[in-house]
Amino acid sequence: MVGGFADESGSANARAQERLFMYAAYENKTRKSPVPQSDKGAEPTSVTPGTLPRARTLQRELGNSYLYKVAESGRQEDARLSVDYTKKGPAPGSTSATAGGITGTTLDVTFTVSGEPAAGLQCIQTFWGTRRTDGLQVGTMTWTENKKTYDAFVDGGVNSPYVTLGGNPPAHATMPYYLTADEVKNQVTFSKDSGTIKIYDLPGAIAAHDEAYFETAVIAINHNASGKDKVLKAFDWGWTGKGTTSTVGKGTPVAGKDSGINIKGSVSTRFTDIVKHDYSSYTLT
Amino acid sequence: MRPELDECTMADQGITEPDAGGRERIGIPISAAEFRRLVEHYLARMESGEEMKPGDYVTMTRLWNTIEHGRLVERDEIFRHYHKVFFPEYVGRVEKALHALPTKGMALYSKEYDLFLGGKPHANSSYRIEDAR
Repeated sequence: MVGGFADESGSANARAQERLFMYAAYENKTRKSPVPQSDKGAEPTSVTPGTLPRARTLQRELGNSYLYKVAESGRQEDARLSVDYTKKGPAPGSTSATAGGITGTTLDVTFTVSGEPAAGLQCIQTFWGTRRTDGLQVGTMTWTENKKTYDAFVDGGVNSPYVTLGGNPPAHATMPYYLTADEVKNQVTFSKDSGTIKIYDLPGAIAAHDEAYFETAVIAINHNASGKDKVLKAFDWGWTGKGTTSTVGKGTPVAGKDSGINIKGSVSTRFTDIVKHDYSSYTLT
Repeated sequence: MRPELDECTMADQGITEPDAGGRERIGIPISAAEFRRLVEHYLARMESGEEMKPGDYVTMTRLWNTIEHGRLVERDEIFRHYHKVFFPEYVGRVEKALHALPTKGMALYSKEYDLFLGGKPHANSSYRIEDAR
């Protein structure tokens, strides 16, 4: 565990032990000169229990006074151990919901993004639910669980009812994005690495589903010129009882109020499976 | 760099004509009094189990959309009551009568009537209450 601080209230000895491991890893990454003869062939590449002999050698080399200083030097020292200062780059980004949530059956939430270099912002929305009460299948992905049939699709995507039943082109020609180009114009602001995205929806068709689940991800397009999109934040929302009972309840507070959505840092396996089913060549980081 | 990404890279732009709550101001113009009268009228008819025609379902859908998009449930008990009686009970009837199908965002859309039940605010699918601003 490099740079981790599971127990900040521990003793100086415990902290020294941990930092000793960190130092071993740091030194192994940065050391230019040959290692002492006794350590050759035993160089660890990461901090693991196997580094203990190396750490004990260091203890002998550096002495207890050095270890005490390291233990008491706080986060700044630990940052030195976990960050490669030879590599220049942008500050870590942040994404958070800054307004809105669900009112009644209407989703209206805005996320604010900063420090995330990208070509723009988008969202991907997946839906899965029990088969419609009239028997109509929505989407092409289906499975049975607890004797109930579930249907799923990437909303606005190639297999969504927007395309298969409505005869519309998908929201994006090749990607699983939810917002159309016009919606991006009206709902997204983005410049270089910062902006906002507003996600709005009133899913009236959930009245035909005993269970209806949505998972929506905020996406940085071509993040950091990597050629891949990055999930910045994701959130769950949905209803049972034909749209009468929220699956989330109060949800994550947004701007000091209950939002009715459950915000999280990554997407679920189910989300990934649905996207993979409808867009087999699309990958997220 | 994938060429299809270019269309998603947007400069700063905002929602058109937002009201005080940041929501779009589009729809069929109607006075607050007339809107309320329609809500009371259709609420009474739904509660009495009266038979509806497609034109009724169009109006009822516009009323529900307007209540949802405008968050009117929070403002008045009559709107909360209408919302509860209409949804989900009448949604299936609207679908059948207007030949509506699930669409983007799990809204319903009737091509025949150019009418959404849900989705985003749409000019033909909701009312714009003129004197409630």
